[in-house]
Amino acid sequence: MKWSFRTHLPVLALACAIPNISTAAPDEDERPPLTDPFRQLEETLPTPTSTRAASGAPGHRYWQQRADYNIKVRIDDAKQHLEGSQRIRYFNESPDTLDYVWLQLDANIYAPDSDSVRARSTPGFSRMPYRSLRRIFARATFDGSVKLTRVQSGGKDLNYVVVGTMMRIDLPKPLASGKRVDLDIDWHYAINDSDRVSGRTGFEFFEDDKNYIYEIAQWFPRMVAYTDVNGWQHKQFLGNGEFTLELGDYKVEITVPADHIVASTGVLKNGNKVLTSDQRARLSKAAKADAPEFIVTPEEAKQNEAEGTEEEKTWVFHAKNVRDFAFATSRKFIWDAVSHDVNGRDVWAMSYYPNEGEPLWSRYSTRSIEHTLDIYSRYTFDYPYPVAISVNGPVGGMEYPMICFNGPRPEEDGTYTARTKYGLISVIIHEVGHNYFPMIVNSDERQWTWMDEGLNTFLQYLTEQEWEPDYPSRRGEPRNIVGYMASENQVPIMTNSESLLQFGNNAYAKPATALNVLRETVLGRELFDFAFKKYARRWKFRRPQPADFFRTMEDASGIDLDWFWRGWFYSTDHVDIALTGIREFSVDTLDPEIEKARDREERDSVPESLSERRNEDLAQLTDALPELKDFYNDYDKLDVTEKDKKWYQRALKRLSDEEKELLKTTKKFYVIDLENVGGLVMPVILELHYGDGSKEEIRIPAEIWRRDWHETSKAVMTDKDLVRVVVDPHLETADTDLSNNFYPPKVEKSRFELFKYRRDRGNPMRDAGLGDGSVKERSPQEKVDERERPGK
Amino acid sequence: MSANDLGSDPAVQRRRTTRRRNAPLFAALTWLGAWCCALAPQTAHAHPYHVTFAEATLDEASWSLQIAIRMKPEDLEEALRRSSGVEAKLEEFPDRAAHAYRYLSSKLFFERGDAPRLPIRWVGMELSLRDAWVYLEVPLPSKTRRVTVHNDIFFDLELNQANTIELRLLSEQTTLTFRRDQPTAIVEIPVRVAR
Ligand SMILES: [Zn+2]
Repeated sequence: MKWSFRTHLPVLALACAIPNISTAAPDEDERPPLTDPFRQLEETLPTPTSTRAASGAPGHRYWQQRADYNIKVRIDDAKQHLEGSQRIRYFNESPDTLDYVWLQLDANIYAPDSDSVRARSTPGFSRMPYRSLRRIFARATFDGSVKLTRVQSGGKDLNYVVVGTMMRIDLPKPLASGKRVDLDIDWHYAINDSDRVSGRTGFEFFEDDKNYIYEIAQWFPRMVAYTDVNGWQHKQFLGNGEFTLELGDYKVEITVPADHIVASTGVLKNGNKVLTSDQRARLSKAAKADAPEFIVTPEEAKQNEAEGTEEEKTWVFHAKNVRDFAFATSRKFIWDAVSHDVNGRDVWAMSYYPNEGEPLWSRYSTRSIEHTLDIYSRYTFDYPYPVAISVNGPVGGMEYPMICFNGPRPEEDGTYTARTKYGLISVIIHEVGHNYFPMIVNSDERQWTWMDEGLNTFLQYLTEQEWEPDYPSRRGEPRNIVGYMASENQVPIMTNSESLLQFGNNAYAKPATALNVLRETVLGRELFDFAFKKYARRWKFRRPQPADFFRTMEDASGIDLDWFWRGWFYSTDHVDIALTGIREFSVDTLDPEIEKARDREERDSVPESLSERRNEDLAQLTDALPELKDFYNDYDKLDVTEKDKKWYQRALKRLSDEEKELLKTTKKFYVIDLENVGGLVMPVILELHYGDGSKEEIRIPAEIWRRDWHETSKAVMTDKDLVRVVVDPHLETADTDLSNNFYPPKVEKSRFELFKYRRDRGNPMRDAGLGDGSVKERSPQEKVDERERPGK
Repeated sequence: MSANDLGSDPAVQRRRTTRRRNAPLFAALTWLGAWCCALAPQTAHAHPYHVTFAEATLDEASWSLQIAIRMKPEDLEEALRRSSGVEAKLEEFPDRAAHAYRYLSSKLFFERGDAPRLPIRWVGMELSLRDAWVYLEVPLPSKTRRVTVHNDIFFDLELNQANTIELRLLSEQTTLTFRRDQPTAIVEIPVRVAR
């Protein structure tokens, strides 16, 4: 450590040193050149093509396939069975000729011997809770895989092969570029009981009233994406990575018990047939209302539950330019709706939920949808679809175009914890937000989960922060991720979804935090928001790759961000910038009267050593024999001599007027030494505290690490005394170790010590009776000890 | 997919009209080993953060490991429900600290060879909307040079659970990671210098 020492610089050297902020000299031979964090990403990113430009925009020959669907589907409520008949019209917009096509059969994940089951490593536990045991039996016996009864084109049977969750259909003749083919497929399968075999689709059974809620998703044979980057996207559905699909138009007829209410992707085309006149009148009212209106009231839903019917009705929905289609249906549904103005476009914000969701759902669901549309549209593009729906049922949180499924419910007595409330609002914001990423900006979720989950979690954070002051967001704030960032055994964000360790942190929290840091600390809001919006608009209804995002953000902000992508997305380095020293410099005035006085002051300030102090009383030989003294015994080299004065006058004559002015400065110069301990280069934010009580913040771009990414220094010129320095004072960089961020050094308390400190000082929550009682009472292990002692 | 930590098991994050009370009925299942992977689908749309983070710092004065564990409230709630058979929200969980202590001390423990496990002291617990923090303390016998740390917290809930301990032993700092295939780690304890 080299805390605060003083040195004199020759005036001219100092004048050169000021503009040069990075002064530390790298130890060249010790630096492995391959770890240069500023090395450009060109060698890592794919070469630009005619489909993907070097700017990050779609290329001049950009293409994507298209698939339109015409589907008739029926739910057998007695058997919880789904049966469908569909025509896919597939347009080959690629320059290639296709001999066969691939389809996804996601329901095959519910085959007892599916890859998703087999690909899991076998856990090593020998004891298992009953619930897990029940699930294992259910999983081993339930078959929810797709039964195909017709695969035809133009009335002719086609050869097909099912490979796990995918199916290859051999075309009757090769499909040339620019041509289309119709595929007719009939199928049926058993719907999974979400309580036993859970997933992103399924039914929930309510024992009290013997009714079901169905949430039906990833349910029909869907075209696998065929892209300029990957060709057919040959990836089995294993459970983590979601999906990537082709955009197209849908016409879907859904046949359900006549007393069901259906919530679906798309616009209802036969409201006259399936809705009562009351319901239609309420919809008209909701179209002009400021607040959500009940279309089906809680009382009506209760009544509906009690009755039941043998009759059926068919609901018809049309959806344009969507990449998927999902729906939910039940006789238990309450339905509320309001028409929301998104920059001049009317969008139906609607929620469907059973009485079990009340009073939470009518209070927060539709309002959360509206808020999401407002904020996301501001940061990306105006919501382009006519409806946005949130449904409560068995699925905890999952998104589809225009519709999403969300799980939280209150307690049976209608009360709910704050955690449930904010959990519901957050999950709705998140799932509705997925309309933007990846439903509309159609990234490949199965390969690059962060492109939708990370971007969406970032926008979710911005949206939550505009819900109410201090909204308890779980992700986005850099300080919330430091524990993960500091840990070893990570993999970079740029890792395939199915092989991600710590999926949640890598696909959601870390990229969301990275974007927040990029926005607040690196680019600033104005540049970031412009670039991010540019990316969203360039790739709206198109299929971006990671490089398109990285390149667009640079292209539109005008800032080289390769170091940022490299550090945050391609490495597992973390941020830990340490303050290792402060050096103080002053200008050499050349004037011997000033300089020698200053040196004397410095000499006198050196404390007496212990030996010197103890030796003070010792008798000295020169006291007894004064003749031993000569000139040098009285000489002080810090006395100003005539020679010094002459030298000074000569020196002054050689200086220009400008240089003479500089000599008169009273400014102080400090050099702050920094070390990059974590490896991830980041901007350095310094808070400087001065002797007069004032403070100043300086923000240094990450390029300060360009010459030496291990150590660097920052020079500061000031009129005041620098007394305290803090690195990253607002905790904005995810710096994982704060103990080395202070001058003078400050001992950071551990979380444990902080807790004990708070506990010992008393805490207002506990005083208000809000604690868990674990502190004042007899300690819990004493209670436990009475019955069983741990470890025996 | 939801990132909102709504509970690792979708069956417990919402209210059902009928509550199935699962007594803590455990079955020896070694013969089912190969089937255990059938748990897979319950992870499909659960929250994706199957991690706990702990700081464990060797306190020089008391020569004990001071441990602060951060976890998702939903996970702790589900673990307490399953281990106790009580269906309640964590915020209102009866005798919460005792249940939490019993559960956690059966999952996180420290062994020295064949000697009995080192006793773990409960220090306290804090709940926020984001996190649950539990504070524990493990006094180390001064002559102990090496302990085996076992940490399978929430392995009973989630196949992909990974637990991390940031271990600070005087000047040394390391990360210990615990997964299903590696639920233990060996830690060398520095020599205690008398002061
Ligand atoms: Zn998501």
